[in-house]
Amino acid sequence: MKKKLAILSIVLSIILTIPACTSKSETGDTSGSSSLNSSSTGTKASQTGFDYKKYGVEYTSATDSSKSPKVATDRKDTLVIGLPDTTGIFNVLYGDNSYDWYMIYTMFDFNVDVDFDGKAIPAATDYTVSDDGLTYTFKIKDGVKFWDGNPATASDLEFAYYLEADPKYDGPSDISKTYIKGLDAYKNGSADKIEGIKVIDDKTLQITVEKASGPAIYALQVPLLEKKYYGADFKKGDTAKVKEKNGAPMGTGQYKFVEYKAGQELKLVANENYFKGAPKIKNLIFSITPTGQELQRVMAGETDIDMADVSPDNMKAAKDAGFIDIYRFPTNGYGYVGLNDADPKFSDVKVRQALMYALNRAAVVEKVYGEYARVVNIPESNVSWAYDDEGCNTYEYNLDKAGQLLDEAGWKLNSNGKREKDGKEFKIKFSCMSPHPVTDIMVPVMKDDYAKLGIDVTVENLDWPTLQQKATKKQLEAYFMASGLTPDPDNSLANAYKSNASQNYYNYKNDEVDKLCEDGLNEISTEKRKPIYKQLYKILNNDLPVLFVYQRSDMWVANSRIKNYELSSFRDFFYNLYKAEIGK
Amino acid sequence: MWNYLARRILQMIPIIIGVSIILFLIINLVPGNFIDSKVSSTHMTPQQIQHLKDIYGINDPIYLKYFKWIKGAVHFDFGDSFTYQKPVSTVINTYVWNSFSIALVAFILELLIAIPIGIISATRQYSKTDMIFTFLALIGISFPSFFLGYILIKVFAVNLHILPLAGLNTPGSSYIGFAFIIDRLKHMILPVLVLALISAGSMMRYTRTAVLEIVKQDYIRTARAKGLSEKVVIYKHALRNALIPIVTLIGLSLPGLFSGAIITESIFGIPGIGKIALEAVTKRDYPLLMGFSLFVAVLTLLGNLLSDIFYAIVDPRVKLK
Repeated sequence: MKKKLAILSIVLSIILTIPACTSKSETGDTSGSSSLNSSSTGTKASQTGFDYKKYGVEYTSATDSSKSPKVATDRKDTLVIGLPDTTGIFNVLYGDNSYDWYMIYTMFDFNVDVDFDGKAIPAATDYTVSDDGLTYTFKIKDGVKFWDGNPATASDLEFAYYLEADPKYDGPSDISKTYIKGLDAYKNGSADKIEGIKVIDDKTLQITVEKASGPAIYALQVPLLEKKYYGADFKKGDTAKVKEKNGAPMGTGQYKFVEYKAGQELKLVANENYFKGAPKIKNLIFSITPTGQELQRVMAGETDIDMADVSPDNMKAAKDAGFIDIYRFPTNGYGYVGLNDADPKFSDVKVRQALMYALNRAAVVEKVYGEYARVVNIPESNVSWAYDDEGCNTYEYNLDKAGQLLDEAGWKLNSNGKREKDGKEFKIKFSCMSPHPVTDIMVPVMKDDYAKLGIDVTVENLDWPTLQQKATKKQLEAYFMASGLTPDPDNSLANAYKSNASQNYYNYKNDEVDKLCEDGLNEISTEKRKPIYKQLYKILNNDLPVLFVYQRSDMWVANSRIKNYELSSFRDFFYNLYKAEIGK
Repeated sequence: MWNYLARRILQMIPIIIGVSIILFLIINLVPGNFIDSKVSSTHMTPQQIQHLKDIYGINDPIYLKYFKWIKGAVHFDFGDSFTYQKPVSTVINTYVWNSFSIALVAFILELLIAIPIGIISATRQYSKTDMIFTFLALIGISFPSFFLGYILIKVFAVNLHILPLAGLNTPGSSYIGFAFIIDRLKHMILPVLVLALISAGSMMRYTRTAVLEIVKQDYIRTARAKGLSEKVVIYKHALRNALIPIVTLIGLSLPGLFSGAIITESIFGIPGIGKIALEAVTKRDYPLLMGFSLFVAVLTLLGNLLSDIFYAIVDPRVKLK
């Protein structure tokens, strides 16, 4: 799902700026008071039977719901969700950031969804894929209706594809990875129809693609946008009219749009005719929370749930408050140190391995995130079905080993105690953002340890767009950044590690990796894809195109008066909000 | 007078064009661009990224970008904000009034605090009262707004629970009429206080200096010699003249009322233009950044003009020709 991807991207850029972290440990560290109450720290199932543990969510239950502030308890039929920002664009295909999308998920439905474990599942349509993987048939489920009462039809679905394929379309989705037949002729040519999209009957849409691929189903995800409302007489190039409706959505989703106060709040009301069942909470409010005050606002009762930075301090404050449920899960992304693999300094695998051994990742992660992040050795989330690090090197901090590898690579210590090869001393110019929670700690540690090896590191601080642009232009020799992980491993891997891929900012080139990426892409069966990715991870773990550093975690802090949030790294609770309930 | 006005306004045109060129260069020469910083992890194909850059005009040479921009600008069309996908003027209009209402109230409060205290300080120069006020003023001047803001939040919102933490209204409230105003005022207290307190210090010092200068003049001595009461001397004779430089300052504050208070707005979650402008910088939303910067530039020029006019009004010795 591209939207999901796009979100990850943003979430990612947030990783870059905001601290938080990962969970692996048991939450047995609660303060003594909790044991007096009916505390159930750890993982358990919700009342609806949702199994948090299964999907990698560390759930810490509130200890004393009665401490909830009166302001919050007085809201008998209203849920208030705090988010840091929104642009007020309530159209999936044009949303600007993850917060826009969070809001959108409560108002719109898709043909395909991503399940809690990252697999694609039917949403508002039942779909079938032909055995050769070339034909997708989407049949809209019974009872899927827009807020204005009109039933959703195949031509609404068709409209979404045409919008996304339009030459003038300037939103963040990229339809090209669907490989729909005739897409290019429509988008870049003069065709006025897309050959591969066919309306079979009122409820059925058939899509023919040019080549079979596992991840295509994610790329084929589109929202149900009512054609009559958004573009009754939509023609190629006509996107401006659709964009005019960005602020006045019309969906099929759980909650109906009521009012948006720019930059302050979005007010929604339950859609009684929702095809999965009417939401249990009548009113839904999204309220904009200033960065850094997420937890404070939940504690004050102004909001019921918000995403707070995962830090030992915040964890303690949330637990001490007594009435706060904590949902913590691994972030879909990882931080890494990029090295220009084409640079003669870094082109030798041994040098990169030496730099990995000399980087005290465990200490850095512990210092920044405490127990709430983990060191990673392969570019994959431990929640994903594709995760398998068996037989991978863990590169534990070892300066001797690093020195030995550098010697083997020909970088010998010279008379000044510096590493030297072919008359050139080993110097690294390291670029990163500052202030930044991770680099602020990591860079001094790294400088120090590399100096012990005889390598000088000079640091250049840049702001985010500058760093990003320099990386894109491959002007950086060493830098720190984070990369997103997608529900389907192909996206995040192929984009980052195939030669000449769009996010391969480090000139990594390995024919075997290219081939394995291709194999993984072309295989449809998940079971058959697993060993392909396993092998791929092993190569990457040995080759170290970049130095993998950490995966942190995200945390929702929630007033315990609201029950039954269902969530995981891949599917946030907004999708199943209709199941949430106000408890006693 | 009218002649003068017309001339001044005409003079602004070349200045604004010059300013727009400089602004445009600065904004566009900063490394990074909207698409790259946005799609960094959306896993788009390189073709799609190029396609988007073409649509957004990011690949155009800089002179062409400027001509495209100025062509629209002369018709008051400043382009669409990349982030909000709406005309820049609409975006500014949406958010600027939140900033303005807070800034205006804060500004009035600032004057109400600063001017009387400034006068009292001046009339009792070097007294204990003067010392205390001077001390407080220096604290106000040197206090960073975020620090004061967080302290106020901690005390009044977190500990005492008597004022809200953030926003302009209670989330989900549907108050109308009087209840709405009360709710809004409650939310405005802390940000207004922060803005007023940090700027009242310097305004107070200006007033004090201005009054001090006047009370040393001969005509004040004459007034006192005539046997006029101290009240009449200060408030009738001295204050009028002392206010002349203050009035000038008020004219110059005009852009500040509209430009938003970036830090204060961010702390208190106020959807104001300052916060939006800062985001435009980090997202490299050129049209919005350009439109906003120019808006402030024009206001600065108007503020200058306004203070010249005020000056002529309060001081009969000044003639505008």
